Amino acid sequence: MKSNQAKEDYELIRKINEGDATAFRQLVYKHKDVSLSLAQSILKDVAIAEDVLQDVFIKVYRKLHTFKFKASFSTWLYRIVVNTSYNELKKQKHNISVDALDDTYNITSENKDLMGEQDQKKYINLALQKLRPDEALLLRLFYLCELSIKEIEDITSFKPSKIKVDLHRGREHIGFHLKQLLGKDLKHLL
Amino acid sequence: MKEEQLKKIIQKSAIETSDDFLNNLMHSIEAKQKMRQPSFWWSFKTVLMICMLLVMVISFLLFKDVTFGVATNIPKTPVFVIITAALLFGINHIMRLNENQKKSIG
Repeated sequence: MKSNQAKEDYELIRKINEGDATAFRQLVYKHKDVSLSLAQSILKDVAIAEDVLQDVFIKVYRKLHTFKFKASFSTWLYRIVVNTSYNELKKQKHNISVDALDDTYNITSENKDLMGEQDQKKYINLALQKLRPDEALLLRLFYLCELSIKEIEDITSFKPSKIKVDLHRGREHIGFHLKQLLGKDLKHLL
Repeated sequence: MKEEQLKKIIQKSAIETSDDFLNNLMHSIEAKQKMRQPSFWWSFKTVLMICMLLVMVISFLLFKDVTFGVATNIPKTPVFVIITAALLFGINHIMRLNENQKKSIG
């Protein structure tokens, strides 16, 4: 599955390097949502994460000719997403307060019972927003992107011990926040 | 919470970009490509080669009294001034290229 995706990416990159602009559109389309999720894990704000992602893809377009076909494109892309997002976080020097985020998602017992896919996503994202950037990022790299510890190490430059510890803490913390948010209704998510 | 349950939950968390994300990105790339400066290295090489050629020709004229069978008796001071001006022009141009390059990257 993964190797098929990598082959598709390589083919698109070859086309882009030959001057096919629509191939770049396809490549962005394939990776934009997961990349946005990773950037949002760090920056906690979707609008800022989307701005960062625009810069990331412009960088990717400029530097694509330097891409070596030894590693997978997604690993290369996620490394740029993670580095650019952490740089942006440093620039901003402030995190969005959790209180402000609480206002975004107004949870009532009424809408908890009628939890659709979009509502589930909102609650999960709210819980993820309450985690530290490293924890949220590692959870998404491990479970959403289904990467190994080695691949995560390549992307984040974190030590394997830190990755394992933060993943463990992230699991505990997201469970705690989801329980706090949903109480007994957590079973609707599982 | 079990590992599989957590995996399902995190996979549900993927967020989507806004509808105009892709179009905005492609427009930005097109706009940046139109504004793109010529490569610094090629400009640098051209300026360097022209300057070196100029200096070599002038030095040749200066230190050889007979060139292509024609006697040349050129005063040395103006030639030195021309060499200096050519070098200063070259250095100035290279510095401006460097600044433009930094601006276009930033």
